[in-house]
Amino acid sequence: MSDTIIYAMYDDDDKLVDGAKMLVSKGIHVNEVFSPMPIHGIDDVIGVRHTRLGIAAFLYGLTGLMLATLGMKYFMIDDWMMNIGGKPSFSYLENLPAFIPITFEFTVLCAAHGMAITYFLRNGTLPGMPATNPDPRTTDDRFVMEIRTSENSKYSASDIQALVRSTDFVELDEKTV
Amino acid sequence: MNFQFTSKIKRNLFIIIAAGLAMFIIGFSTEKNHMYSELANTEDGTESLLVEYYNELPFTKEAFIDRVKTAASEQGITVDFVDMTLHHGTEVHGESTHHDEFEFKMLLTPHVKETKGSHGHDEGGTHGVEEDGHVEDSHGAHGGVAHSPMETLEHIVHEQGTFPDTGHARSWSNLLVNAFFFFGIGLGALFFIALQYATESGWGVVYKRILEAIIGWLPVGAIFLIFVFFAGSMHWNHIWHWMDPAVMDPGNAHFDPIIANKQPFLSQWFFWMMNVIYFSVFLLFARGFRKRSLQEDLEGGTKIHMKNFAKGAFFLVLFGYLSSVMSWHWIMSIDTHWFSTLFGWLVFSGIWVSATIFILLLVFWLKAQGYVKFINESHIHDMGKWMFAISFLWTYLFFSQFMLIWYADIPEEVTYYLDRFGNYKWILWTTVAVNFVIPIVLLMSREAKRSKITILIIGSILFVFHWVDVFIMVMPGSVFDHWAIGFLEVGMFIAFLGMFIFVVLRTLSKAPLLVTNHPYLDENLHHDT
Repeated sequence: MSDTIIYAMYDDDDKLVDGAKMLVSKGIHVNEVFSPMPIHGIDDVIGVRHTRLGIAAFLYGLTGLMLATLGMKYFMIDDWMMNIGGKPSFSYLENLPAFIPITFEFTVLCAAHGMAITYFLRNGTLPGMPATNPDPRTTDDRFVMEIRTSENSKYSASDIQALVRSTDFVELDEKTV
Repeated sequence: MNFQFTSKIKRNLFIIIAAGLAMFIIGFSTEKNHMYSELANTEDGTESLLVEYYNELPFTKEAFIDRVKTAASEQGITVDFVDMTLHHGTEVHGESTHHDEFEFKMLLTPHVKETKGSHGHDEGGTHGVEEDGHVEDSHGAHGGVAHSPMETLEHIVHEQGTFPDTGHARSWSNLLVNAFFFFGIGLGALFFIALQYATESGWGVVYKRILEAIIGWLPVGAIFLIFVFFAGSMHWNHIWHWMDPAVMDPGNAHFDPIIANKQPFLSQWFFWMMNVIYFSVFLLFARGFRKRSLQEDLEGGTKIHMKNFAKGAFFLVLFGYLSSVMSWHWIMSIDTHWFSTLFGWLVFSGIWVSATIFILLLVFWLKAQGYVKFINESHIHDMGKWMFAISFLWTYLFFSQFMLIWYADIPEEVTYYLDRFGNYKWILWTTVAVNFVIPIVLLMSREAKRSKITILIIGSILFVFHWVDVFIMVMPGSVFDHWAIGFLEVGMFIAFLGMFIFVVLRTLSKAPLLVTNHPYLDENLHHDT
């Protein structure tokens, strides 16, 4: 199955957002936007699904919380009983305040690292991963919109090109895969 | 468009204030005081009850002893009395303050009355307990008794030692709690507006007039606070222990070296000098911000904006010092022996979150009345984020203070929490739990921060519990164990809330609800997160 990808390049994020709005109003689905910086409000315009990174972060945090609790229970209470601030009651619950800072820190550590690694993996931007953006200039000062004919069965490639031409673009490129 | 402070709203507010005052008067007229009793172990291991009172009692010592004896013998208990009142024979000047004259300090030891052939129990007078009258020993012999003799005695002392409070300790302390809580909201709003000026924030421009309206309470709130402080200095109330000159006087029997060491800070002249500084700085900056805000509406340009920027930054510097020192003077010094350098931040986070909540509640009320349509969901969301974040600042600071004191376990520090864990345990932990768990669970999601119902419910709960937080800061050091939340407390809170809303709405009606010439106004009206 052949798929034609149309890349429309813009030199300003506002022009891209305006163009995307126009295309979306015609019923065209914009697959992806490549940009050197986050474009405010673009998610809603091209209909990107709400990120699930928050759910992932919660799960990583929960993991950290449990690991810290189990770890400290084992280290400080079970394996080698510690005298905590002159309170050698050898009970996790009774010494709970002493454990809270570490629980908190470890929760944050796991949530933050888990989130960052997930983000990089999901975006394919871990160090060493091949770049997937269509044009190196999208890391500098250009903004590219990607439209696939496979996702727009109502329109042919030339129809989409004609519509893109009516926006304030700077370059137009087409690729068949 | 201006807010119309209609006579209907005014009438409703007057009804609220009147209802609050009526409840307060009921509470005020039935205010009770009682003698303080605590368990004490004497050197020979006997458990006794130490009964103390340091003010004028409505009955004589002898009458109290008689009544306790009668009530106790009905329960089958005899009581030994030992007068522990200090005798001031060693006093340097031979003169005593009014406190010494009224001092009551007695050690009460209960014994179970011998039922079979009493053999010479001396009822009252001796305190030697060489006979079989030990509490623990006799308890088993009388297996049918529901309470131990000590519990019965505690109950009797509480009953006989309760009398109408002519000093109105609860009313005075509550006046301080409410005066400070609502002054704090005004102060929180003043800090918030200065913060927005200093950071040149664009997101909060639509809130400016609401913040200014809340700041409008500061002069009124200052009057209430100054009144309580003045009453303290005049010894009309006894909220601040250090204001009693006896504790600072080495010749006096009540000389307290720990408090006396703090004399430079806790002295009348320094207290009042600092009060002049606190109030003048807060009120002058509040007045300046309001004046320039109204002026900006007429003139436009960026000159006033840049001036606000400089003044806002300068205010933040002053506020950083003054808010801490202020809370030491006003609140922390109630528990005179205790100190915590973190206390000022805890108080500050409390007033900031209270102010944020009040802003949101007010905005939703105004929206329901058809005003402030320019405040959109994104503005609400941003303010909701503050409410969420500052709730954790508060929890964080509370826990930081608690954990270090718990960990170190130094006597001069733990007293603060021992007082609170003794008689305020459930209310303290409820407050901490509510102020932490409710925001973290229910306010985390983006939708919750934009939802009117969520914000209204959570905001109202947090608002009340931050009032309770101030309550727990003040009460243990000023009314000790005879606190309650009854007609008096609820009534005064409602009356204050009514007055506060009245002043805020009146200030709000005096200027248009939206500023006109703020440089970031246009950006702000299109705010979208």
